[in-house]
Amino acid sequence: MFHRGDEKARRLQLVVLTCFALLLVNAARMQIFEGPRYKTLSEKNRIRVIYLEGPRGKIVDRNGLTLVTNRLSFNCSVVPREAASKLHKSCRIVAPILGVEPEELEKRFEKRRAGSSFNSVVLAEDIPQEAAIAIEERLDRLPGFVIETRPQRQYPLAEAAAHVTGYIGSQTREEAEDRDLYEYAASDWVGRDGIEKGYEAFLRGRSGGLQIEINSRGRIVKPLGVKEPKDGKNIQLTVDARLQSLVHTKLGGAKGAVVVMDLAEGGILSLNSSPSFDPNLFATSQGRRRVGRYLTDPRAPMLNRAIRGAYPPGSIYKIVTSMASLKRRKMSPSTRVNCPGWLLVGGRRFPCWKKEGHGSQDLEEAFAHSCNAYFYSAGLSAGLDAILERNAAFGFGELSGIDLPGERRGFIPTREWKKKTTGQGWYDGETANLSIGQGYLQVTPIQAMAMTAAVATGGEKLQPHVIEKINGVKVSERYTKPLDADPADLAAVKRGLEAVVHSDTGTGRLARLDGVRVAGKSGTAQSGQRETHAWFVAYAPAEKPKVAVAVFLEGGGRGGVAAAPIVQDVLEWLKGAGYL
Amino acid sequence: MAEGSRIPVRKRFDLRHFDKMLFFAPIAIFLIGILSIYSASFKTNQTFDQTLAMKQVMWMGVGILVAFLALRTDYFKLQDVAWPIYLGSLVLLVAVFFMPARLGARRWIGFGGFNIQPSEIAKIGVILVLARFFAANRPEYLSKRKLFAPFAIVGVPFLLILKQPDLGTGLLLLPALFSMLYLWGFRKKYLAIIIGAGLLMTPILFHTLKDYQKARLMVFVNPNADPLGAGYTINQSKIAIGSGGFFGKGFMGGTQNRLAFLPERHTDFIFGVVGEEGGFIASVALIFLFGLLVKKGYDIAGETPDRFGSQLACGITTLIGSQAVINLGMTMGLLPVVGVPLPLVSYGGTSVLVTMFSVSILLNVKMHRPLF
Repeated sequence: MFHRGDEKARRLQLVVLTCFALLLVNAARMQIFEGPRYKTLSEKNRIRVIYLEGPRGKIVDRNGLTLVTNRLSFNCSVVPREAASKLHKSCRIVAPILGVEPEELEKRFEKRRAGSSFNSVVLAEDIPQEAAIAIEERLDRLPGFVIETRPQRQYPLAEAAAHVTGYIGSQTREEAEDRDLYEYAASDWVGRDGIEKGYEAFLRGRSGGLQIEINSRGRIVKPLGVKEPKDGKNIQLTVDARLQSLVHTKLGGAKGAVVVMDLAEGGILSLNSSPSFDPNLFATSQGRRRVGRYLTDPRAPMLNRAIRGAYPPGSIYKIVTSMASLKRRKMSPSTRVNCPGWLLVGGRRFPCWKKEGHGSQDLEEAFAHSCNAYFYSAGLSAGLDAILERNAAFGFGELSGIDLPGERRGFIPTREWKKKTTGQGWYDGETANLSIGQGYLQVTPIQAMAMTAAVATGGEKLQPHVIEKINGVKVSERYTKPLDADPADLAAVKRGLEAVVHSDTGTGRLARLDGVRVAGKSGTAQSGQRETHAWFVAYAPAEKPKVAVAVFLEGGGRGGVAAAPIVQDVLEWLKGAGYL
Repeated sequence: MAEGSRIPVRKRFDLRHFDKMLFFAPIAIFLIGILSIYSASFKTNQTFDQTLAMKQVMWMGVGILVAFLALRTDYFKLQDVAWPIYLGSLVLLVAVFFMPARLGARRWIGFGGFNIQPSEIAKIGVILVLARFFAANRPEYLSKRKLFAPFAIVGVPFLLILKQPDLGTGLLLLPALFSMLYLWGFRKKYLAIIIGAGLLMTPILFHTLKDYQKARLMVFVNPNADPLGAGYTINQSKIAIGSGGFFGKGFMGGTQNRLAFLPERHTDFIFGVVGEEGGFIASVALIFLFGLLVKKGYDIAGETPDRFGSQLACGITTLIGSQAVINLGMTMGLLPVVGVPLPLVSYGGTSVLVTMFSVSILLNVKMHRPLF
């Protein structure tokens, strides 16, 4: 055209239109090619996922009394993305309600946010209901804040049943990764010991979630979807909560363990280890700060002595020794052995506990008096191999098979072991020591109880169990292994065990019970320390045994003095409760 | 009198030369804007006449009325009102400093229930005065001293607007000035020197900026540096636009918009609403309409033999075009956030009124330009 400005205007036009073209290309990039990515981001913006924890199953005792349950608890949490820069202001509102300093809340937020990949950061766990309501009312002014409800594990019996129920704890990072496949959320709690651990697969609830649409202030607009959490399965135990509590009281915090088993099916009526711990503390964050003392306590309250503590059995082992010598037909029940207060073994005097000696005794009397000289002879006549054979038959050195995790085998010395560790052969003196349950031998209280039960049932080795029903379905069954013992031998031993309690000179007279004949055996084991371990194993009624008991007191003194009364208490209660 | 600029050849109000496309493109842009404002600002239980969209429609009504009234008079008459409009806007720009601050800035003057934004008036005032100056003077014969006049014309309102502070609106004066200088015939060498010097000055200027302005510029470099702070808006805006996809989430269906994740969504970031609810289709439509407006505007600037009309068309087109480019670029995260409304789309009465008046000037120039 003729105008001078024409060409220049056209160039300007080109520049601006090119800009628009570039914007158009960019719009296409964002909305078409990257559209799905941005769509995901916008979904993440508006959808808040509220984690719903599936409550773990409840645990009740054989009568339906609650051992472990859940109560509703409230957490004050924050969704970091939504809280944004308003956190500081929000903390000032929330802190007085929770009774903490605002700085403390902010500190917690910063600390926990770092380690958490989850949706929300817990600021305060298990807050009182009034505080939860107060915060809920102010949520309008608290962007990103949420009150989460979750089931809080509760153990009404606290210490009394802790070693049966176990406790729960949050997973470690490695565990969380390992469990990924099994639909665990990283924040899920898992059983750490006892039934909680052993039956984790049944007890655990399946977590659910709630998707809600929120606006930029974190206010709920509408729910979008829900995946209902599933409750864990409820478990009924064979344990009697009342007995469990009674035994706990009787033990009074002294180091020791008590195991009581029902002989009809092998259900454990009570399994105590003392001192104990409060599983409630492990289930809350406030409590977890206080559990450190359990771990440093020299009395080892976390140790379940009933199934993990291994100790020399002392005289209760004479049951094994006598069964071995009877089986080898080296001695008969009527064989008499003179006790001058010692026995010469390999040129050395092995003492009886009674210096002046018991005189001449048969098997029954020897049991009643727990004569060491008699059982040295019995053991030596049977020989190490025979003793170890019976030892294995009674289940020592093996797991009792109780359905609690972490059971230990104890320790059984053998010739090979001796050769390997000391380079020396096996001496008769060691056989003598073994015969009275001393020396290298170590057994667990549940093994001691299982041995007693095998005698009581007349040769059936019952596998102990604590589980009775899962979700109302009976899962336990009587499971036995034969003891492979001559009934006549057993009958002789049983007579001996009755004499322990009912003979006027018996060592277990303190375990006597009005109207019920009790059979038992005391044990006083050298522990290496000043105080001896006190044992007492028993079953009742003697004629038709229904329960077996093992009482062990670590450094408790003499079995017949310290342990027998607890057996009496247990049996007396059992009688009153109709078990006998 | 300068050569040719005041020879009226055709003065009739002649609808044959009324550019319908140029008239309906802004109306269409405005309609997209109205839907977006309605969606962005809707509150439940609100009737239409209570909404911001209704207010905007009223401003548009006034705008169209003003446009038609202005069309009846020859644009040459604007030469006479150029200085009064310019000086009047300067007075208003000074007056805003005595107004209460809103959102940390003094940009508005309350006026019987309405707020007017003097910087919007100043923009058209500057262009009118510049066009008059460039029409009256030729670069070849201009004294060195007088050469500073255009820069002074822009400089005074520029600094006043910067002081409000309103960096975005202030900066918009610059492309208009440069495009008009270029069209005028200003030596390209000088133009390059000035722009180059300006770029060298930016580090110094940066220090004079307010903290929030600095933060915005830093965020432009990396929006994820502070996603919950200064980077929040730009991230949310990009999410809004991108998540619209090809077809969009539908009218009133944008979650970024309706759930208030996108800040300033009925004003500067309204393109986020357009992009989210209308998708790529709406983006194309809007960009195409702006492109059409700009194309027509420069066509007029190029075809008008009269220098005043040509300069006027050029300045106005550059102003609207650059404003659209900067706003769209900023909402898409391509340019720093400088707070520029999208003409005819963003909520804001003065802007709509002034933009419609500007469009009417373009129409006027096309209708009334002298034909030889």
